[in-house]
Amino acid sequence: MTNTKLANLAQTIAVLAAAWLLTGWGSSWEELKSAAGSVTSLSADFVQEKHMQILARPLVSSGVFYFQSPASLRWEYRAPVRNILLMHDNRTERYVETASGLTRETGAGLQAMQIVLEQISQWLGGRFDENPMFAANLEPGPKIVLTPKEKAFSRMIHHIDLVLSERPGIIDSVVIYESKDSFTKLVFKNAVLNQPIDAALFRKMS
Amino acid sequence: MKGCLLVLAAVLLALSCARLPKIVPVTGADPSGPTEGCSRIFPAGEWQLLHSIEADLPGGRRSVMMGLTVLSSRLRSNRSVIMSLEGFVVFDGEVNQGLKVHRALSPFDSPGFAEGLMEDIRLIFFKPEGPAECGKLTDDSTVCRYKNPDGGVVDIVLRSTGSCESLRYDREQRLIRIVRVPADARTRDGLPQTIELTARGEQSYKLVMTLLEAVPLDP
Repeated sequence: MTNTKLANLAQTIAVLAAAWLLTGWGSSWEELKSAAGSVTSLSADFVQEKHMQILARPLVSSGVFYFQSPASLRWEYRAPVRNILLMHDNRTERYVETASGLTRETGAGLQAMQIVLEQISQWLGGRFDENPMFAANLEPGPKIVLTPKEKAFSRMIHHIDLVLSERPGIIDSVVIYESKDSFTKLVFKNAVLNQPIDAALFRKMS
Repeated sequence: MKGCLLVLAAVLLALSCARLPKIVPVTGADPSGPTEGCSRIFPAGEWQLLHSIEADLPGGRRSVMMGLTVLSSRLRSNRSVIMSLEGFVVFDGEVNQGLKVHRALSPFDSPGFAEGLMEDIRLIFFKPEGPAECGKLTDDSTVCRYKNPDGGVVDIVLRSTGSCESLRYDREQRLIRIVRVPADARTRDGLPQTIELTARGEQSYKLVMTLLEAVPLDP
């Protein structure tokens, strides 16, 4: 797997996290599928903490994301390094803040993102248990535990926990475990469901 | 063929210009005097440093990553982690009386990558060991020269503009690494806000490191 693809793996997880936010309440896969159909848009702020055994304190990132059904997404880190992923009309773009301003990334990573889009359509349809990359287990809480199906992939991701909120359509957190002493926690807040979102957000970086 | 020879000649000319310069002793000065100034460009104590890294790589590729370094100047040890901007660890290695790689995903698992990375980390963050030969360069910059066990040399150069450079030469006295710290880029702890590393040779690349966070770990 190329370096660029690895970087986009992280984006994949971010995108999937956005999709999971749409799931709503449910105690079975069928209920999740049903709830997913009622969501047309979603936006939220997020705070991401990177925990590693060697860190005196976690590394903190923050940002915002916007989703519009069926497949428009803006996932934007605002700190410490501004970094924007845009997906709209089957096009995927990524911009990163550099010394020369926001710079568009090109290359193989974008092809990887097209694959991600295909997966997202499954997630947005609530078909969590049909993902080719992860085996999904719905646990009490409710919590969804995702485990990589392929051994090569499990070298990068050990498993992912999704803790659903009591508020339908929202989850509390996503925790991505890379190893036993390294994990990334995403906490969402200020979620807004089914409100109009300016389409330009999905087409333009700023 | 003629074109190749011209290119070769140009490369050889460029390399010949990047040879180890002569040091001019300063008359009446303590030859070890400037070493303290040379030491000040390196972090002292124990730190957790987070940098964004803009990398210009061979083939015109450009990538932005994050680099986490936990280091001890006293122990001359470090743990260095390369992450995607989203926080995914693609490389995790440690030097503490030897090199240990905790995690290396492709292409960061290629032969020699970990050793090369740690050489760069050492050049950026650690004062060279051993006695220094100090003096001036022809442009009046102050220089401290350290000999490496491998036969190479590291020059710490304090420019009159206030910028600092660490220049690493191989045993053939060819300049293979340039670390540059601009004059006006320091935190209140004296840490460089920006560090530029240029690697010359078969695998040339350039890294621009911007300090995002510095956490002192000293008790």
